[in-house]
Amino acid sequence: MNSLYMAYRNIFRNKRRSFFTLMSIIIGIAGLVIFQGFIQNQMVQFRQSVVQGGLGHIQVASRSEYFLKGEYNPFDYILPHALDLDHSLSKIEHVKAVTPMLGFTGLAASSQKTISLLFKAFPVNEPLFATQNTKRSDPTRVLLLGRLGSGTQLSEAVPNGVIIGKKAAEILKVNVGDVITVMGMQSGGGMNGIDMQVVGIYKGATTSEKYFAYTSYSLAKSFLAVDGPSAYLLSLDNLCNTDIVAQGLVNTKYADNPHFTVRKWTDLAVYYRQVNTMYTSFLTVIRSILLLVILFVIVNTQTMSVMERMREIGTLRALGTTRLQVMTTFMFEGALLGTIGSVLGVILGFILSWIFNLMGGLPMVYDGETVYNFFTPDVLGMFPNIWPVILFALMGSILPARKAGKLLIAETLRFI
Amino acid sequence: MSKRLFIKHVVMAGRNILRNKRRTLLTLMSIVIGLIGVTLLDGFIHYSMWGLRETIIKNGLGHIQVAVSTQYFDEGDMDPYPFMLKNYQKLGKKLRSLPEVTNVIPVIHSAGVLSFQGHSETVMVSAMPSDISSKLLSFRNIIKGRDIADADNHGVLVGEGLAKKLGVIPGDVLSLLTATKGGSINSIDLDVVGISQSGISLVDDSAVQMNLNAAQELMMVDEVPLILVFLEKTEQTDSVMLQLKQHLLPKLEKKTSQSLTAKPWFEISDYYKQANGAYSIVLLVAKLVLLVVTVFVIANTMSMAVFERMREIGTLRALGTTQWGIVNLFLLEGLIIGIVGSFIGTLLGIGLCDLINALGGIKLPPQPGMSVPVTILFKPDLRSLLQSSVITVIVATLGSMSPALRAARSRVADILRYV
Repeated sequence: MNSLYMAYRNIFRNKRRSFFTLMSIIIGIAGLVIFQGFIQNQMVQFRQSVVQGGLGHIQVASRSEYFLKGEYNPFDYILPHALDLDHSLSKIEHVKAVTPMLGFTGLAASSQKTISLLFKAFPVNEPLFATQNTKRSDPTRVLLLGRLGSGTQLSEAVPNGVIIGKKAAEILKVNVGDVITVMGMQSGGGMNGIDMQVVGIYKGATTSEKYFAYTSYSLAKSFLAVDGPSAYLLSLDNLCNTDIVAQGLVNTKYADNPHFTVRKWTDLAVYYRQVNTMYTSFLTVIRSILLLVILFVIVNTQTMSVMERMREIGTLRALGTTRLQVMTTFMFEGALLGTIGSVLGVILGFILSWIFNLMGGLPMVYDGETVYNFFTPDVLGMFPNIWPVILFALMGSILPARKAGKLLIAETLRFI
Repeated sequence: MSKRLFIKHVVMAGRNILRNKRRTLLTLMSIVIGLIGVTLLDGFIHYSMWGLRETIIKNGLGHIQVAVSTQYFDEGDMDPYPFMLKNYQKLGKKLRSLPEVTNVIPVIHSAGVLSFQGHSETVMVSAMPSDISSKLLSFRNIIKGRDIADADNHGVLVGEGLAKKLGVIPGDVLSLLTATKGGSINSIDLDVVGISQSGISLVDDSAVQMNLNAAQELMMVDEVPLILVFLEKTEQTDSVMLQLKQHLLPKLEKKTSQSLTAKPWFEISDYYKQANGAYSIVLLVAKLVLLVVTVFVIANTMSMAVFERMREIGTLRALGTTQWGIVNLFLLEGLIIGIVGSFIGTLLGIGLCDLINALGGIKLPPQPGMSVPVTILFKPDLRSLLQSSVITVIVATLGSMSPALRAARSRVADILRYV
């Protein structure tokens, strides 16, 4: 305890040097906190876009093979009416919306060209796309499949409406208002053809723009001659409740039903999982490098500090202070610097993130559009930043302190 | 200032640096440490970008693609027939004659339907001469069976995800259906020789690779719609593109009497654009954060070292050194330490990168859209290292100059009393 008190007093004795060491730690940690906040914010946005982009928080389908090969080939996987899933699913706690879904492939023909498209159909009582006037992300929306470049949302007003991608529209040489003929399979094996009116054209990644089209659920039902969806998307009030609700579903009366399989969004979003692990590893690399810099800074200053205080150490030793006491004093000094520095650094990081967010975020051009990135560090994620610094500070002081303790008293006293 | 005084200042700055070795070590170390950190991160960033790029190019994109029109790149993979290149062997030979070009591969990409025991899947067929493809596509991984050899004309490689969907293993016989040039439908039986893994899951879920001869036989054509050009180094893409556009392509257009167009890899790959965008933003922010931290640590240490010498400054002023003399002295000291420190730091940083690489690098989980885990090595880029070194030198100089300027401006009596 005495050593701790001595360490504390030593820190305040050479205020300037302690201040500068502290500042290095604080800035290093604050930088790390801001970066972490950036990554976390990216992931939250990405999660939201994955869930709203047609995945839902939880999907309920008839059999597990559906997720492997039934997404655009729904005929073997139509959910039976008798289960009355629509009704009972919406009654579950935390479930905000239950959306039936159908997917199918079709050959789309304009007067110019024929291409094959992958269709997804959802009920159109709610807007499915972002428009040019709405924000790119909106957490309250159930689905946000993309951003409309031109045209309008799907609605009951145009019962045979379809929204296709920009690239597909270019290839087909169609515009908003034009009609395309779609040919596809029907349940039972027959072929069916239907005229669909292009009500909107969305922008997205080139691959999806080329292959994915969206239409209304009721149109898809009659086109495919089926009487139910191939899957239900459950949207929850909060992403954190995914596990609870999924677990609850597995334990209900449906559990033994062969026509009932539950998948969480994390099971389905392979790309998300990979990006998540990649970002985590970026964070690890950056953290390791910053901590390395901080470790060196501490070792550096502590070594200097021991050297400059050689004569002081000699005096202390001559007065009867043991080697161990000298060593522990230095170690405590380092640990104190590390603790104070990292805690203040975390606080500064939070304050700076808050200021950046107030200023409107970090603007970055992405996909030709300016996106504002925010910083949302989270308190629980701070422990891996703090404890290594304290440990480093403690360890970083051992070497110089040991050296000081080992020297002969007479030598230390003569040290310049 | 006279030349003599300047030389005197340089000598004095040098002596000052050598005089208090301990303090010099402290400031020098902070620069060295900062630069080691920056070099490491830089190596990480550079390697990540490089890895992404090379994987995509060697997975079958090539550095430059040549086709009849830009329209091919939008529609050609679904219906290649309107886009066939006339006299592709001759085109290939001419392209091959450029010194930067290492390989030229004629390919056909087309949609087809693959059937196995009653199951059918729509697939993307890519066909190229098997003798070149197995040598060149180095990132392609055969996880079961073997690669297509020259001898098996009717062999086929099936993507990992696709093989799982259809339930095929090497040795099975599949039939591939496609529309022919005339508009009729033709089919061919193919032996599965191996299961391939490109690392990009989207590709592995729908890709089949086969021999060009077999594909031409199936589609009843003699031509190909696309030529892939591989270069010695990816950096040469721009210059070769320029050469093609200005000289070679117009000449070849005349000779073979057809229109020709070339596209570089970065305009073709959607995946690259997407991943590159996400990557660059995160890595840019990371670099920014580290640079700010490093700059601060260095400026911090440098100014601390000056503050400790306040009384020395006072003495010098009292003995008649001018204000500018003081500033000049500290500026030179900062400059020397900055240059020496960044030199040592960069060298040590590169050494550390090499050490980590020699130890086998750091294993990272699969990248987005990729199914194979990657090993991260550190390959710092010399140009950005030079940039960081210059920044460091400037920061070190300014960091020691600003407190010196303050000290020089204060009253001599005040600084002499400074503790």
